[in-house]
Amino acid sequence: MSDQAANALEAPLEAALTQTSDRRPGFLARLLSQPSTVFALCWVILLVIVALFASYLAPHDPNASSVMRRLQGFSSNNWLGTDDLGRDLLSRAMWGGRVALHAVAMAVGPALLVGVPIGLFVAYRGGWWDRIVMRLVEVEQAIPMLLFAFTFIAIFGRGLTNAMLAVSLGFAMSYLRLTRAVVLAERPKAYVQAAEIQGYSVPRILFRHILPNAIGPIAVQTSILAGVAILLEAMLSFLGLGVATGSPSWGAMLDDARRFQIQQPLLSLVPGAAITITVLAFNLLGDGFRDAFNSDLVISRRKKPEPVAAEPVVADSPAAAEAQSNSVLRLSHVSVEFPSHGGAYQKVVSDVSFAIAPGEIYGLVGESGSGKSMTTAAILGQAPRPGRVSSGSILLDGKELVGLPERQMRAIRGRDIGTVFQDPMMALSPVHKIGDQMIEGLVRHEGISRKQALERAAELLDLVGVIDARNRLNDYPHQFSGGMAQRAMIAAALICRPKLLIADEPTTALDVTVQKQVLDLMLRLRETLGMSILFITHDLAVVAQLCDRVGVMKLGELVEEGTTSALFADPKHAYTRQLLHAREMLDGPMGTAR
Amino acid sequence: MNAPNDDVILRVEDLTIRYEKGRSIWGTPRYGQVVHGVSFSVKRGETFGLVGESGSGKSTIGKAILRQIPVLGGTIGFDGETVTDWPEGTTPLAYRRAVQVVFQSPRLSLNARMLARDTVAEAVHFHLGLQGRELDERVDRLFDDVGLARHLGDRYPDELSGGQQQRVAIARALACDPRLVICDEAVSALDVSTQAQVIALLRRLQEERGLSYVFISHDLGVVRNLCHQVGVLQHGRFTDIGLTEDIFERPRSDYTRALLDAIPRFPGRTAA
Repeated sequence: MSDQAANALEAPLEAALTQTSDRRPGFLARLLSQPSTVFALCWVILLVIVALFASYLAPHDPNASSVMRRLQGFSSNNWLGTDDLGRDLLSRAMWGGRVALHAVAMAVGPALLVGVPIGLFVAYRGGWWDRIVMRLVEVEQAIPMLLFAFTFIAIFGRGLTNAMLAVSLGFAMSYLRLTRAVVLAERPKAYVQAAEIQGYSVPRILFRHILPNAIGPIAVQTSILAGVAILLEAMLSFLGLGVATGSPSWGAMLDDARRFQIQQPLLSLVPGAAITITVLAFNLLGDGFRDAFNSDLVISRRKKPEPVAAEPVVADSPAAAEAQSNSVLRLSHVSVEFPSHGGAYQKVVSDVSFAIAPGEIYGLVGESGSGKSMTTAAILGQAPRPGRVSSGSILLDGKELVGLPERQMRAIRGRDIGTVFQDPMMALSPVHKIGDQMIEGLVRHEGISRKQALERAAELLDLVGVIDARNRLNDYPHQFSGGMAQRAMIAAALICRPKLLIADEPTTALDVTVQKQVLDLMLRLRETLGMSILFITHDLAVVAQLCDRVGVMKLGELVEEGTTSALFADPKHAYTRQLLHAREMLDGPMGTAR
Repeated sequence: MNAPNDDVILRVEDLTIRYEKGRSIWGTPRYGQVVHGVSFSVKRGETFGLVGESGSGKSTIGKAILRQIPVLGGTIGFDGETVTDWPEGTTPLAYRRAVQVVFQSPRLSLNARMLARDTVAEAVHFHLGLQGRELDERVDRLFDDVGLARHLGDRYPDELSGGQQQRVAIARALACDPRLVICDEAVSALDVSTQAQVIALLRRLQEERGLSYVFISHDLGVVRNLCHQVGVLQHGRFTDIGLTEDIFERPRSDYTRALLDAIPRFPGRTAA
């Protein structure tokens, strides 16, 4: 096949991709879509402006005392009142903001500059560098921050700079640890390996490739530490160890307030509110950063969508009614939709209808993004939030599943519908015995004794071809090979004698020889148990070997349906032909795919 | 080792690799041997396929050629040089330029926080020292070469389809004009129709640039399609090695035959 032909093949898919998903909203847009973050951001910006221009904005000199006006409440001249020396509280709070931000810069700035590069370096180098540095970090972190600051001040003398440098050293350690942890997680990823194979230098890999991927956690940490720095500055100044006496600092203001509390209770209000709101704002900002970096989180927090009532399906003809009553599973005009960025809903499965007869193996084929897995999720009542089944009806043995409450759905999953997924090792819990995992559903759904349940589990393991089944019930998943684990998964899915088995790409993660065995097993199960199977896959060749009928999905629509032999002999839809063509190209001898 | 003008570009002889399985409670490492005395050679402008199931050691051999893991015994010769003689952790930049890689998952092999264009441009700038307009032109040409629309360069990897992502990864690998590219399951994660395109692309690039490939895959169909020679690996040893058609038409070992039998086929239609 020529490259042009190949491009033409993907063209419709690509066009749809650019059309529908467009570009996702940028970091800033995601950040500003959160009300609490907008508030926090506004407060911090206000604080910065006030601190920078305190000399212009403050109505009074923060240090101008007036004995006549001491300890006044709110007034038109002194909006927030005055302190014990008659100094204007609003002006002092404004100048205090400057001190607070100065403290943040002093504490966070050097910590970032020291902690992050060292963290990057030790994580990348590893070995003795890592071991020695990390032990030193642990020693430092074992000492409480305040105690550390006291010692520092005792040695180097009082003052905001010394106090904040001590805090900064502690912060540097937490940056170091965080950065190291992130780098260790990023290091084995393929993009870092690709950079190494390009021959890039270590600093280039660290700063250009790994650091931008670590920026999320670091930004979150910075925001939170900024809040901590403000608290620590206030604490140290309150204790008289921070700013010089008389300087406007929120902590020092609180100390004054404490002494004159009885004469003027309003004194503590101003610095208290300033500290509380600012620390809160920094923390909210940190939350906002985290959510914006991980946009999925924002979506999942949205309200659960309203359940949709099933639409009654009117049988078009007596024959259709007949088929309806005869099928194990029947989907009629099922659509699944997700809210898109604009707030409108976007369909990922649209108007899909098909039915599975008893003892039939039905293949649902499609490429990534075709909606085949979303269709399965809809059947199981597990369309991921905020997605929802927006219309249509799903009948399992005549019982409507759309709109069924989660409690009833839970009873149907596992009992009436068995499921097998792609990766058996991911689906099995590594810390429980195979036997216990198999019977969990049985004991829950049917309330039979453990012993009886284990008996049936052993029979089924034997049926799916696990040798020495009774003893293997006591094994853990890691003692099973991939193929054996998938057999065990199938046995587990069958344990409640479900009406329907849904197998979602059950052989994709397996080797070809094992795939063949699992496919043979599926055929045998259909013969011995009369099982109906919904088989979801991207691989047409597997479908050809296994399924009685096939549905081909593309971009959420079922574009073609028919018996396997008819569909492969004479594909009607252009997309089906393209898929078949591509597969044949791949399997052809040398040089076919041109 | 092979002379530079030999028609063999990569010669692997008696390669033995073991990896650290874990450590005992006393701290002495326990080893598992994953590759046992494997030998093969790759000719200039040709593709050598390494096929096998999971755990067969095929990717491990690729990693050894790329010098990502240490080698226990045997030699790897590339274009007149003995790669395995270099001390661990020191790989000449010239070798890095000559031997590149395309990984399985294009999404993971691209830096998610870098624009597609910057990913390619960085490699061009780093290896060729180009800047400004020259750099732009070169990157544009690489985009054209791999069949990627230029405007897609302004997107982040997450905003591209799997096929487009893999094209970016191939463009990056080609930036330094390599002679050998290791394709480690380079099409396995892609949709079937996209696989066919990427394979067509790899073949075209081979013809245009005289590239050699080591094509690591579990998919026998794809290997048959692209490779001149094939080695079938099982438990770190070759069970069959030779010309592709020979292996597919007349497999010598039972294992190869079992592998071939296991490939699902279409009923009533033969691959043309």
